[in-house]
Amino acid sequence: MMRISALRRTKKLLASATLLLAFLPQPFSCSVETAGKAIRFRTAVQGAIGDGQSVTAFETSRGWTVELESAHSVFGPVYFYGGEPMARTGPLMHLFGGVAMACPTHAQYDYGAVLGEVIEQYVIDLLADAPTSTGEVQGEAGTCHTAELHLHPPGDQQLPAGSSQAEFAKLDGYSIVIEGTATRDASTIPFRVALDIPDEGTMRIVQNIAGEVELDDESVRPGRIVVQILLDAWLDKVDFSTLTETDGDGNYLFSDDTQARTALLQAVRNRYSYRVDWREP
Amino acid sequence: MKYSTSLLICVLGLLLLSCVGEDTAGEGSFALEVSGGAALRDGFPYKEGDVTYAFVDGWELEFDKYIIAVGDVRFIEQDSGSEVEIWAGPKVVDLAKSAMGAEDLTTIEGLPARRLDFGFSFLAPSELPEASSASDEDIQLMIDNEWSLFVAGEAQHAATSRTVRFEIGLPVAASYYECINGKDTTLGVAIEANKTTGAFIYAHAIHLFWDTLASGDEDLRFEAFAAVAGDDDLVTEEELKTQDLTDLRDANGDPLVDDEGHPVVYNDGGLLPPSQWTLYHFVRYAARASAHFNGIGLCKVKDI
Repeated sequence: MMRISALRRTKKLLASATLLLAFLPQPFSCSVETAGKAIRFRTAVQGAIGDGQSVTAFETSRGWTVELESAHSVFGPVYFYGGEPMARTGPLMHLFGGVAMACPTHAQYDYGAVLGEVIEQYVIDLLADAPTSTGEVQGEAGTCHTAELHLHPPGDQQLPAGSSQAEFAKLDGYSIVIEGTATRDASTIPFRVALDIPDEGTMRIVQNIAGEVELDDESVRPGRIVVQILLDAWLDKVDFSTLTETDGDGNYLFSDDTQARTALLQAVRNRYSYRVDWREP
Repeated sequence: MKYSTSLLICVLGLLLLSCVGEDTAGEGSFALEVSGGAALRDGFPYKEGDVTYAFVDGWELEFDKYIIAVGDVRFIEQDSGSEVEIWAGPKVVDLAKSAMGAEDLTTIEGLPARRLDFGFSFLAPSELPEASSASDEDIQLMIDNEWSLFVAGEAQHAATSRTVRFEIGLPVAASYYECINGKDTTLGVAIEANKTTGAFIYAHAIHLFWDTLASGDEDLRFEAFAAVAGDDDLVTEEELKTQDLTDLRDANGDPLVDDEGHPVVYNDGGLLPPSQWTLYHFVRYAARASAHFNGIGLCKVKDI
C-alpha cells in the first residue's frame, strides 16, 4: 500500500510539473529576469540659464540683452525614463512594449522603464531662486537617461499644493507668460509673452530630454531630481525687432505670425531647452 | 514505475524543445531589394491605393536621380543578439533609373531557417563599384562629400509655371536595426526552410518633403526649397542651409506664408539642437530615418 501511495504522489508531482512547464512562456524556460527596486524620491523644477544658475539677465545669439521681470509656466506631467531597451520577451512585446515608433520619424527611442512620474500639473515661478518642489514620487531604482515633459494649458482645474493661486492667476489661461525687456544697441523693447502651444500632434510634449541621474530611495540618497527650464534657450533665437503689436501698457506682444513667436515656440518644445540633474540637500 | 519514467522523459523532452527546437529547422535563402515605390516612379503627386500624395503649396516634382548606398545588411539571433550573417556591401543604386523604382541589392544563402532580427545601413560609398545604375561621376561626388544619399530632379509650380532644379546630397550614414516587418508587423524576418524569402528596403522619398519630424498633421511642401534656389534656379544642400526654420522666407525675402497667410512652420519635434535649425538639417534628419522594411515596417535608427 505504501508503495502504491508513493507512486501516486510521484505521478501527481510529475504531471503537475509537466503541465507547469508546458504552459510557461518560452523565455521563462531559459532565462531569469529581475525587477528594479521600488523606491521613493523627490522631484523639483527650476527656471535657469545655461550655466545652471537662476535667471537675472542674459545675452542671446541674436545680440539682445534680455532682462526678465516675471516668468511663469505650466509644468507636468513629467516622466523619468530608464532609457535602456526593455527586456526582450518576444516580437509582440516589442510592438506593444517600450519601443514607440511612428511615421514619419517620431519617437525612435527606447524609453526603457518608467523610473518615476509626476502626474500632477504645477504652475512654476521660473525666476524663483530655489527649485520648486513637485513632490515625492514612487518609482524604481536605476539611472534616469531621459525625461519627458508635458506642457498642456492649465485649464481651470484645481492646482496641487506648491502652485499658489496667485501664480495660477498670472498665467491667465496660457501655458507660458513672460515679461521683460530686450535691449540691443539703441533699441529697448519691453515685451510680454502669453504663449499657447498648439494642440497638434505632440507639440505639447517635450520628449527625450537628456539626463544621467542615479535614482535611489531617499533614505539611501537624499536629494532630488531637478528639471531645469533654460530660459535663455527659450528666447535665444527671438528677434525682438520683429514685434510690432503692443498692449495698453506699451509692452510688445509675441503675436501670432511673428518670427518671435515661431522662434519661442520652437525652443519651448525643444529638448535642448531643458536639463535634468541631481541636487544634494 | 514505468509510467513515471515515461513522464520524466516527456518533461525532459519539453525542456529540450523549448530551448533548441528551432535550431534543427534547416536553411533558407534571402533575396533583398531596394524600392523607392511610386514616388520615384511617378514623382509628386503620386497615388498609393486611394490616397494621393501631393504638395500643399502647388508644386509638382519629378526625380531623375535617387542614388542611395546601402550595405551592412545584418541578421541577428533574437534570443542571444549574436550575429548570424552580414553582407557588407555597400551597393550604390539609382532608384530613379529603374522603370519600377526598385533594384536588387543582394541574395544571401545558407541562413538558418528561423526568425531573425534584421538590420541594414545607409553608408557613404568609399570607392567606385564595378557596376552600378548610378553614374561614376555621381558616385565620385558622393565619395568626395561622404554622402549616402544624392537626389536630383525638377520641380514646377502648377500655377506660376516657375521651374527649379534640385541637386541635394546628404550625409545620412545611419544604422537601421531591430526592424519590424511591414508585411506582418512582427519583429525581424522569418527565414523559411528550403526556399528564398523575398524582402525589400523601402526608400521612402516622401520623408524629404514632409514639414514635420513628429507624427501627425504632416503636409508636403516644396516652396521653402524653391525660395532659396537663387538666380540659377538650382537648389542644392548649400542653399538649404540658408533657410532658417525660425524665420522661413519666400523667394522675395518676405516671411513664407501658406494659402491663408499664416507663417509656414516646419515642426522639428524638438529634436534638432538650435545650431541646426535650418532646412538643410531638417531634411537631413528626415532622410536619415526615411527607410522602412517590407512596406512601412519601422526600424530603430542610430547614427554611424
